[in-house]
Amino acid sequence: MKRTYEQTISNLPPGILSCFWGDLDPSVTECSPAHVTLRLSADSVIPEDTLQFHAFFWGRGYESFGPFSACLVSEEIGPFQREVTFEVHDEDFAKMVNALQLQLYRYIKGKLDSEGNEFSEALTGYPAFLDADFAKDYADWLSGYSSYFDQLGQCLKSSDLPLYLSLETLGSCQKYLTDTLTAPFTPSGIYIGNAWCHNQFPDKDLLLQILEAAHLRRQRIVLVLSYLRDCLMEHYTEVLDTAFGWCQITGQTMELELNDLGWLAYFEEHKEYLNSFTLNFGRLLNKRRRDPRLPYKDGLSEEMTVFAENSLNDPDLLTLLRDHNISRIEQECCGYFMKMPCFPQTLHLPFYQTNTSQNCPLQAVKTTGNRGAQQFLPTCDRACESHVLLYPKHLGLIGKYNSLFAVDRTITLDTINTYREKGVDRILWNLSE
Amino acid sequence: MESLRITAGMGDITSYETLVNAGADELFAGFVPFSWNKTYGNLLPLNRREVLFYHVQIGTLEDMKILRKKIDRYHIPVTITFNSLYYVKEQLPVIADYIRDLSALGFSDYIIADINLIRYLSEHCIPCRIHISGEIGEWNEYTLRLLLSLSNDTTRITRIIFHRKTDFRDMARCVSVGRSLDPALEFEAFCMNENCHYTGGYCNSLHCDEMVHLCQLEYRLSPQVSAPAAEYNDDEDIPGETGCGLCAIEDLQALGITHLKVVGRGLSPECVARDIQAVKEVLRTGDPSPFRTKCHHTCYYQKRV
Repeated sequence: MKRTYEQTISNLPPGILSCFWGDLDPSVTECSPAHVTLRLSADSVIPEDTLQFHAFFWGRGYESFGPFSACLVSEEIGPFQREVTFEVHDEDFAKMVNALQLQLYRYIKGKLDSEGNEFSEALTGYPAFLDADFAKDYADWLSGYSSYFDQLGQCLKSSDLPLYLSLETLGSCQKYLTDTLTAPFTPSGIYIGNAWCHNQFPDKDLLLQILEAAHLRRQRIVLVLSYLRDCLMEHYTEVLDTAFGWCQITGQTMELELNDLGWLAYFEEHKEYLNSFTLNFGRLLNKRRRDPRLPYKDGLSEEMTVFAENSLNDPDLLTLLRDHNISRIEQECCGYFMKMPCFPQTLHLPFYQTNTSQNCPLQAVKTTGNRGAQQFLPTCDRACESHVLLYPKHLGLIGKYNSLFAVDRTITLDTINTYREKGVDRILWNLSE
Repeated sequence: MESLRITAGMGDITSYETLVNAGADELFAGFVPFSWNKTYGNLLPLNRREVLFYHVQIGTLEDMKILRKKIDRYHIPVTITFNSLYYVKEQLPVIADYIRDLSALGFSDYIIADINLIRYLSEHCIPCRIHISGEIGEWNEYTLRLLLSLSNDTTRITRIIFHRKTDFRDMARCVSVGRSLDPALEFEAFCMNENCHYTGGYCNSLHCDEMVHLCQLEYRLSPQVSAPAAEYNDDEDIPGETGCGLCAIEDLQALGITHLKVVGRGLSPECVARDIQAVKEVLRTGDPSPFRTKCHHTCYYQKRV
């Protein structure tokens, strides 16, 4: 019969305690300061060896314990597995188990007892006490960044990079036409449309007006194509034909920012468009860890270098993209330094996206009070022109249309110059209001 | 409707029998060995369960061996998830090695969400069957064509998992095009639990132990409006508390869906078993109406285009 031990913890997640026994990696099913029970396959050959453990601790990562000599006290063999129990008479082993117990106790108690993010505050120093502080409205929220944005605008003007403006809402498209768009510089080019929401793309007439205006102002043009849903295909075909026709008449070319993998195959099948269009790998496809709470994440260095690369730093992926006619990558600032691949690149700032829904959470909240009751809206009533979702002020996070965006509050002239040296050859200002 | 098969999430190997007995036709699970945790932790995670303090992963090869024996006994296969949105270059051969190790134990099917990992496995002819995760964004025929162009006889794409927010029209188109390219292609749709508010493939924020998901932070609509009180039933005994597609099962089958997903990693095995049984019941009777009388109103497919 299996003995019982005081202070036994069972059901330990494998992420916080691993064991190695010779060449085997049995699971720890329970342990106390005096024993450990291991689970291994029924037909694994039990090694003549000591036990080595790796335990995870907040703020310290994995720490190794052992090797420990252990005394086999029981063994249970079933049809699939065998469970072996050892007694371990070693002070270091007991300390490891006690420390794990304390940590687990604090974790579970913290989760159960805490209100809001107090739990995160205890674990990581996340300032949960600031979570109750919300801006009054969007204007109030924006005003908190006005001096930073002014300063950033000055930095951009003093850099010699081509500066582009984003016309990512219908409102900004209209303002562009009437020359009332607020921007810190005169742009060399514009991005028309919205990577995150298909409903922000201008209709045919408005698009043609913007194309004409940009042409007159000698500004380069990038059309932003969002996700590709079947019901949007007709709309996008019209957009492409309109833009292509305009290019044919005017002798201009333009870029397309593609935000759906489907576009890569689409233009393989419609190569005729490539006489007038060049293709950019868009922001929705450029997956990267983006969260304004990253500074509080356990295990991260201040520079967050672990996030510096993503899959676009793999030359083999870049080859695949080149094979699909991609000639530029759209990157978003994100609060830490990104290692740029060898490719023409645009850096979007000062906002970066964290979450997007193809349905509309904002409209769902506004009309039903339930963000989960969202639907895909082929067309919409533009709740986003009057409403936003506010988040705790200290996060610099805002819910606009179907997405969440955060402000990168770390950008300086040095940042911009460093990125320029690393291959960024264009800046996109995504705060066109 | 019984030709539709149920695939359910499993947090650890001790749940296997519970989920099998509840009626799952197949299971899926994460495998994150210590070597990965030691090097990358949950900063660059191996799959979308980015936590250490929960039983949401299988963590040892010994457990995978045990699981294999269970599969041999019960004949209910398990697919392994390597479905992070992206991996860095140095991680690709590491994952390929894991797949080789698991293949040696008899595992063959993997859920993958990174096109670059698919490219890598395909170019290196790593023998495996790939289920394309919904997180990659295969909601149109063109993405399907692009992904299937990476499939070959050795590294074969065998299933398309539609993302939670994929509507019937997009599913129908993809099924039609997919079947024309590969008649054996399978299609999986979400049915129970975790109907996230944001599109998973576009979710770049943290999912870690020490902080809530970004989408779960408190927010306020500004300016405020007096919306009707949200309709919600918080009775935990009712299936589909965080997402339910029971009423859509008949439509999903008509569209050509072959598998229904019951999300389960991180939930108690008893809850997942209850949800499997609910799906099984609707598949058996063809009638979801008994579940409509007691419902959480967390529909996956209500009012979709």
